[in-house]
Amino acid sequence: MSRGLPSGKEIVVLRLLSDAPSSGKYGLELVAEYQKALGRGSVYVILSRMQDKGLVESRTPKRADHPGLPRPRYRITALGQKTLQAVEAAQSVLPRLAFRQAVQGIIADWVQVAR
Amino acid sequence: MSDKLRPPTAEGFMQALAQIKGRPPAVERALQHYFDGALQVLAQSDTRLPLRAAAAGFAAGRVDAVGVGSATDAPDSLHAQGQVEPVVIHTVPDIVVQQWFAHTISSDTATTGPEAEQQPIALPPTFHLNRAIQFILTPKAYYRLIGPVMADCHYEYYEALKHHKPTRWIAIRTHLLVVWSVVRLPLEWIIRLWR
Repeated sequence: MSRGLPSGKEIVVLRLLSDAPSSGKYGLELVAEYQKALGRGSVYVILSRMQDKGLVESRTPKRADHPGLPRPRYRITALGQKTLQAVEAAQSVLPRLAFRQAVQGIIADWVQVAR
Repeated sequence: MSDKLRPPTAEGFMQALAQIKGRPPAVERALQHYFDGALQVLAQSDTRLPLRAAAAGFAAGRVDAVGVGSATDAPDSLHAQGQVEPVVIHTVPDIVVQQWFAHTISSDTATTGPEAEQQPIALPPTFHLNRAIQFILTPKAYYRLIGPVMADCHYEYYEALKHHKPTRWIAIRTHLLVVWSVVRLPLEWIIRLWR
């Protein structure tokens, strides 16, 4: 299982999947909820990558409730939930840090000019 | 494909259904004989679910009778046009068989006339492509990347069929989407190597 930081799209998919942690969602639902910014083909590439990272898991029923191939349902894993929490915590802290660093930079510039 | 593996015709399958009015041994033997070839085809894919469901349900004794009846209560039914609709009793989901038959009967020549003998049971889009792709791709690539795309398209296709919406565009889109999904795999691999 390969590890790595989730990409922007992966984080969005994690957020969408975290809405239904127990039942999971179909790929098409994710595409619809992502408001077409995610392609129907590329969503499965992203989900496959996330499966490799252990962030999501898929369940495919043996029989479909319609004729044709059964559709897999994707669920967020415990690791995925922890990753999402960590990312959200980091995202809430980082803007403040960035602002603080920017202010500190401006003050340092003023100090240099004053000297 | 050998004769034995050829899908049964719509007319043939409907005649077989019409003969079944219970479970006398002779009928069961006839049914078994009829479905032998079909089941071999069906066993290779889940895409022929309705026929398999009917056959398996009957064989397991969960379907007491499968027959061809007329939907007199449906004002817009095929019965009004002199055609017939299947009536499936017990555990085989009606909706599944109705979808399958709706697709089969929708053709003008599907149920009557000598042309009906030549009319094969309609398959979902990418049925043959699916088998070719399974042969080409690794199981992981197929089940993670192509299978779900195809399953979504099949779902949309049968939903459209269920609601009597046109399916031609969905079938075309399914083929395009699946072919593109297969083609992009080596392209992405080459681009990754290039970088």
